[in-house]
Amino acid sequence: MVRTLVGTRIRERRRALKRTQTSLAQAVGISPSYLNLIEHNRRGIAGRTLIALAAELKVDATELAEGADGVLVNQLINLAKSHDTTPETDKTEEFIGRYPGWAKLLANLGQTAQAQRESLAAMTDRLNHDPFLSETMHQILSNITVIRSTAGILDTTPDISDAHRARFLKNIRSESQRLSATAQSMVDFFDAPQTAETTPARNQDEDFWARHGHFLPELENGTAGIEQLLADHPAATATTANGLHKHLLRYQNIARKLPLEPFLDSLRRHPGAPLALARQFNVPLADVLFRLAHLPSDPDIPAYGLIEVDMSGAVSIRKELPEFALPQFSSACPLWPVYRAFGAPGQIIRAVLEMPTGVQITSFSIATTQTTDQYDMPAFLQASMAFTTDARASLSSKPQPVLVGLHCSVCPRKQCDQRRVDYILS
Amino acid sequence: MAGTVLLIEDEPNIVEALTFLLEREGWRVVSHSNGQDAAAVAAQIMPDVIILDVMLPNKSGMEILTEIRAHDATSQRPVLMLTAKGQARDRAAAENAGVSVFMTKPFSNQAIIDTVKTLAQ
Repeated sequence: MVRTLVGTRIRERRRALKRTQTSLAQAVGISPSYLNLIEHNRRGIAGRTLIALAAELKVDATELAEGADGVLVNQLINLAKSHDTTPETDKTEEFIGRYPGWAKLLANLGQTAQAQRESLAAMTDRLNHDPFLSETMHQILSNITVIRSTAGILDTTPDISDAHRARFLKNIRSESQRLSATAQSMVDFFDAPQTAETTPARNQDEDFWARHGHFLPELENGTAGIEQLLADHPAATATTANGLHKHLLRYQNIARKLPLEPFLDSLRRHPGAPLALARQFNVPLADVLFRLAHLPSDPDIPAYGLIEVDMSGAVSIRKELPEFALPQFSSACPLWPVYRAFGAPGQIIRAVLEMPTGVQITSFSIATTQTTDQYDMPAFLQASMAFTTDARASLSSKPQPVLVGLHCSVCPRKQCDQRRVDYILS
Repeated sequence: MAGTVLLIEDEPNIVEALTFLLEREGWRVVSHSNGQDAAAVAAQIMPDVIILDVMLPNKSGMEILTEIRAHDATSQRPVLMLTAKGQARDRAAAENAGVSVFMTKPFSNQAIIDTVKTLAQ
């Protein structure tokens, strides 16, 4: 935070009131030359003189002594940093002192603009990654395809048989009805209030990891530090930087315990055995699961995704695979073993998951406990699930697949006991 | 007859429209809706052109394409892939897997006819 001296504030305030040094000095009973020294911070000021000057300048004595509101100063400096133009940030406090109303207005406008940017980013991310929207768009395009193609046939085939004509008209009608229902579902979806999970903070965090492919060689080989990586991430705000900083710190710690080349060598030999890797490197399984999702893209090793959640269901880390998307704006399928892990902390759950599309996923989950150092506070539980569709990681025991989905609204398993809401596309 | 097209698609109304359209142009159309054995069916009937939907039950179109390319009998067969997902990532994945043409829904009837004709040459 920028702090200017009390003399400077007195000068700025006096100038704002269009008073001369002589007039002000006489009013408070000191010489103009002494006031001049005060205004240039060459003499200290306190006590009765300060109170008298504050009264003459029509400001609170504390404000005159301690400066303008620190929050406002920081808001304006952060606002300046977020734009290409570079105003005189070293004179921020002077600016607030001279034009307090304008300063507050500017800070408010900056906050409004930032909130709108974050809201837009959240909406864009929602459009790009939400599995419900993806499924719905697929359905809409399929409906339109049938209607367009069938209507084209009717239009360009004048000698079409009555049976075909009736059949195609029936198809157009049924597809139109499905299109209407799907479109209504989409309208309802957008009308629904956003959940806390739509906060842009996590989106920007994920944007960082997506841009780096969830692998940071510069952090592993020491050519860049965490602070530098954060500084190079233009979207980071104070809120996002905090979460990102924790994630990076954990990455750095785990990368030290599980060095890249030895870990890759072992992974090539044990592509579907994270417990063997945990034993070999003598680290907790959760560290191995984290590391599996933070490796370079390499055809010799399986690509792993990762989800970490707390007991409220909030997602702290999320890396999806093209074949296995993770819901971003709603809770996932309750049959995922990452949730089951909370029932038996410390137990390692191996499971094969089968999606409605038939895609099979090999998964490893565990819930870990973090004890507190305070009486009567519950321990913090966090569950991790690493997963892959790579056949090299398939379980040799060939367990019966668990039939899962992404989220009830896009899951066609209508008889599922765990269903919370209806399948939106039925 | 112009040749044989294997249509691997699970949406019955799309199958009906494309079958009519291609048969009108003189093609013999064999449709198949199950992704599990789609590659085996392709190897069995040896079509001139394969039309393959990306999203199928039991197995994804990308996996089927990989199996088609891995089979000696069908490794060189032209494959027209249909998808409602036109994202660059899906297109790149299809190209890596050896697709001949990648077409997004909704498509025009004439585009389908022209593409099948070109691929069969």
